[in-house]
Amino acid sequence: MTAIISAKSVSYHYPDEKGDALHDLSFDVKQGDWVAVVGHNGSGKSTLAKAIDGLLDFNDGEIFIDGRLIQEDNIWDIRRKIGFVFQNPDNQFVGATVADDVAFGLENRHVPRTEMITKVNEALTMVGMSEFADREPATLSGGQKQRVALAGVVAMRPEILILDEATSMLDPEGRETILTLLKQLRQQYHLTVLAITHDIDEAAMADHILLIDDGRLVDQGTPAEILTQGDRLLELGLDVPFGEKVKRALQDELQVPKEYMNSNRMVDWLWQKLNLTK
Amino acid sequence: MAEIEFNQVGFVYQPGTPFEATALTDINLTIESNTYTAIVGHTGSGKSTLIQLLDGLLKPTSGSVTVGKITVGHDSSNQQLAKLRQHVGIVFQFPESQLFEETVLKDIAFGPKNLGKTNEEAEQLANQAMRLVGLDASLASHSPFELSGGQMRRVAIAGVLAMQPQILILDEPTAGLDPRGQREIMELFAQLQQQQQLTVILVTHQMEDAAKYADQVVVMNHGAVVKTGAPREIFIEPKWLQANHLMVPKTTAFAQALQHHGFKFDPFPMTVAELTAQVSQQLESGAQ
Repeated sequence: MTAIISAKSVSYHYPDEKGDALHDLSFDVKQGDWVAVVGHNGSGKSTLAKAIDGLLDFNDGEIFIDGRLIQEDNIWDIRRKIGFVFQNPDNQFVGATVADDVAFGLENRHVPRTEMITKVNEALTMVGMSEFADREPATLSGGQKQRVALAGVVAMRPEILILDEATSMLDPEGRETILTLLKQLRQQYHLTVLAITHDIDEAAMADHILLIDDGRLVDQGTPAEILTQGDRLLELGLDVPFGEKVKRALQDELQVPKEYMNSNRMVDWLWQKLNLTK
Repeated sequence: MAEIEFNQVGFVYQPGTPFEATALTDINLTIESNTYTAIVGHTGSGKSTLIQLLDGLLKPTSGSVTVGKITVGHDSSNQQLAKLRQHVGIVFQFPESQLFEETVLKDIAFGPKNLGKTNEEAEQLANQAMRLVGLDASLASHSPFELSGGQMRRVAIAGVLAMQPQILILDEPTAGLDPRGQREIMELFAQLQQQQQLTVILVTHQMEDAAKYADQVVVMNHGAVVKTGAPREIFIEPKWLQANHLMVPKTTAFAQALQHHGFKFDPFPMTVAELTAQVSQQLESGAQ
């Protein structure tokens, strides 16, 4: 197994605050995995993302990206491997038009103009926004803005994509489009995705979940391992996926399965149960 | 008693210019006093324009809007519009971005002071509002910017409540909060609506919240009200919801899937509790 991100005993506290924002975090992220970092607001998820992007001078511990320890002399090199998408795309826009905005990162890397035009067009096509190339970003809907932000990041060909609550401000339709798009991009570019979220349905899509509370890694595992712990999820300020919610509501009356049940499995199980009674 | 009436309301942005855009057409809508109404519809369906008309931030281009005893039309003066605002409090999206005072108490007291209350009266109202939203009194002297996201939102909501509106409009009030924060804030509004006898209007994309809390659901599409009714009447038709770009609540989708497999529901469930009660009953009665 190659770990593309490897954190070893990482701790950090903000200068003016008591207590650690991150406390002794260790974990590995496998290349090509979609990893959900789940925790309530203020649990330290975003601080962790900053640490991985080398934006944080953490107090203790080490983070390796693709086997290389993040240090001052290689931080710019390492950061090239990482693309960051934030919650509010408005905080990320700099260009006067959609195309300018996508070009911004490439310009910073001195990509020649002809190559840049090709790359910008490619990126906009990929996210389905090419017909909006000359529009002002401010005139777009939330979902469209987030697609442009993604185009800007993907145009830089990162190996790791960090999504910091990238869908939390979108309406349900916008959310679904972005998530579908992300799945496609991940396949196409063999991206490793680290998705910070408190949306439990989004976490259910991941290969692996890191459960964070008060800056500590309190558990990790597959969705099936984490999402069956309903009481604990609620205690941590999170939610329970719908299938599990139904299962929990029935457990006093019925002998329900122990394993993780998404909505479809739960429907099938109840159907079989109904047939048995006939 | 009808608290709010939209009578053939139309609204056009920048009429007579090349940028003319029709936002609302022929809106007829009655909202009874002391009820909970959810307004749903996809982005751009006219929800925001509708609530801005209610708060007197916009004037109807045609037709009239009545709130309590005040009616405004296209020829109403700004003073008349301002009168509407005294009855209506709006909690905008991400309301914490509007916090600005040095202390929590001062921030909450700002609204009532603006309405002409004395310092003392305003602070009293602010203290009361803090209790209503469940903010501990010890936080009064803190800077609102030291608080957590959920607490900051409570401060912003208290600031609206301190103005003692009869109508409370909530524009996506839980956006950006984590699940616990979302649950707490939605429960808070349900409680306030009951205890303070408020008329609550919730603008939301969360169909689960509309199904769970609203007495009446108003569905908007292309600047028109396409359907109004109790949640059960609205959320029972997934195909119709999808055609209007609305998500099907998870409970509805689940119950429909069970129906295809031989379960029967009457009444159609709107919450997980209603759903599972009927499911276990059918499993038991079948077993006997």
